Amino acid sequence: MATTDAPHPPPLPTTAHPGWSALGPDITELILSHLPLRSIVIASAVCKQWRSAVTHPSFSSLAALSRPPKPWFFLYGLNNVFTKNNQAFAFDPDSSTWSRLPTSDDDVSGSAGFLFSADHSLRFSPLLLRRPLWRQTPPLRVSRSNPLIGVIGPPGRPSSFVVVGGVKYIGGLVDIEDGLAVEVYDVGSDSWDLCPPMPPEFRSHRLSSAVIGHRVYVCGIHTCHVSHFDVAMRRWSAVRALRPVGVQLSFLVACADRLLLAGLCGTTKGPLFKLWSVCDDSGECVEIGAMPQEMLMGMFDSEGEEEFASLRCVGLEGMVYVFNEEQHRAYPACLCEVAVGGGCVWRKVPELPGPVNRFHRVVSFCSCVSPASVLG
Amino acid sequence: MASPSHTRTVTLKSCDDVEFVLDGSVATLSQTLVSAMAEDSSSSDDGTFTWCVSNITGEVLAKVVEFCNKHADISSSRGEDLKEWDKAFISVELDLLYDLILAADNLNIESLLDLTAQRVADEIKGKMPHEIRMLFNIEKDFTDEEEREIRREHAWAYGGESLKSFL
Repeated sequence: MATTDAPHPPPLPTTAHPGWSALGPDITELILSHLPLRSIVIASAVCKQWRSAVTHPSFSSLAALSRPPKPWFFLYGLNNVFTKNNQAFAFDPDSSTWSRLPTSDDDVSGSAGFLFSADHSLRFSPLLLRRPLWRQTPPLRVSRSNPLIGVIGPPGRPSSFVVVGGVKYIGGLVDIEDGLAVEVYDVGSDSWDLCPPMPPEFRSHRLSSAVIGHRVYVCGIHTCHVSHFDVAMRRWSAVRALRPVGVQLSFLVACADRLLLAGLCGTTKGPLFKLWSVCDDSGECVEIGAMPQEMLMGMFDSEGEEEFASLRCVGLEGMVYVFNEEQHRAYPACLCEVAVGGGCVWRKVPELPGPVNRFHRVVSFCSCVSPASVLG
Repeated sequence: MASPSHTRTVTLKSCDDVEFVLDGSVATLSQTLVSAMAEDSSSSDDGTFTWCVSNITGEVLAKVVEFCNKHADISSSRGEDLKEWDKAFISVELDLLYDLILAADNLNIESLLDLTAQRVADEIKGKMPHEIRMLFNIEKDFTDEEEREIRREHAWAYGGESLKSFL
């Protein structure tokens, strides 16, 4: 391989490393694949050769090999009165840093690398873009606001979106049963299919969801009711209660092909936040870890039961984020990395980059982000 | 027919004529040597094999041989210990790092390529484009306007200052 100098301006005394830009494209790609996403994005502004390396079609899969992707934590703060006060943040666990994102005036949610906004139709765009590249679906049968959205299919190549609940009630014109309506969008044919509604146990309850293969699992965070919708069969499973002893709030997390239950428990030693692995056949919950209690307490003002009502949890692929939705605490968060073998490592997430505005509502979700979707 | 590669002795010769003798089992870390030995049928009798590595100096080749000896020695290749050893091994100046990458690529030693690539990536991490260019003596071939546009497109990655320009 040629190592001779390309024509350069006279080198500065501190930079006696000739030939770095003469490294072949394969080696350049390999080096850049070892960077966290934020640094990959910055590397794309260094020179044309680096830009073409990180935007090459094969780069994302190489990067996933060199550095297994860890799901990011997204927080969209929405102000009902002054939308200019909306703010959005994303946390990269790989570099342990927050970034501020462009905000959205619309209701948004996110999953599997996409930002979604639902109304009369569904719009979706890759995450982390300065201006979302919205793609709009044909109209939904039922207008929605903040539905649950499950993305089915391999990363970056979704086959369908499952839209659950979040039906808009306008002047009481919508039948109450429609509040549970489920529609499936087929990406290939760009069409909607109206499916059996969610079981009535989930009516008007706050829900948590997780996708494993072709199944969208739904859990009432206060009721512990769990059911799954099988997208291939277009069928809901029987509702069952996953209620480990003492659990007060529970959330679902998909971890490869495993379903985890995360929940707040009242115990004789005070409140604890625990993780369980759920056996799909029996529904048996096996505890795999608990957040250190002082870490949990660090996110709240006191031990009062009401205090913990603002606890929320989202997670994906071995990353579990737990945070306090309460405004005046500026949304403190902790995360847990669940190893393949089941070991749990907990740590505090750094504070949000200030100043943080006042929000009426926060939307949080967890998603992997690939260089291909960000750099286009 | 050539003897199996792991039973042979390999002599590596640098471009400045420094020779290193390796066990066959050590040489198998290099895909280049494995392929070359498989094709070679000349020295089957005495079991030795000589390979000249063009454009790698004795100083650099000594480091490569040190790496291969360590990584081929199964008794010492235990997870955490080896990680520590790798870390110390790769704490070198950028000039030598550059030569090591070329050598790892030339000899196609995957574990050394990954180690060197990670070390360069660690230098890049946390720096802004102009700092990276200065460190690696890379010429900026974007116009100012092009660079501004690229940075604007991904302002979130640059933190506060660039963000203000479009919010």
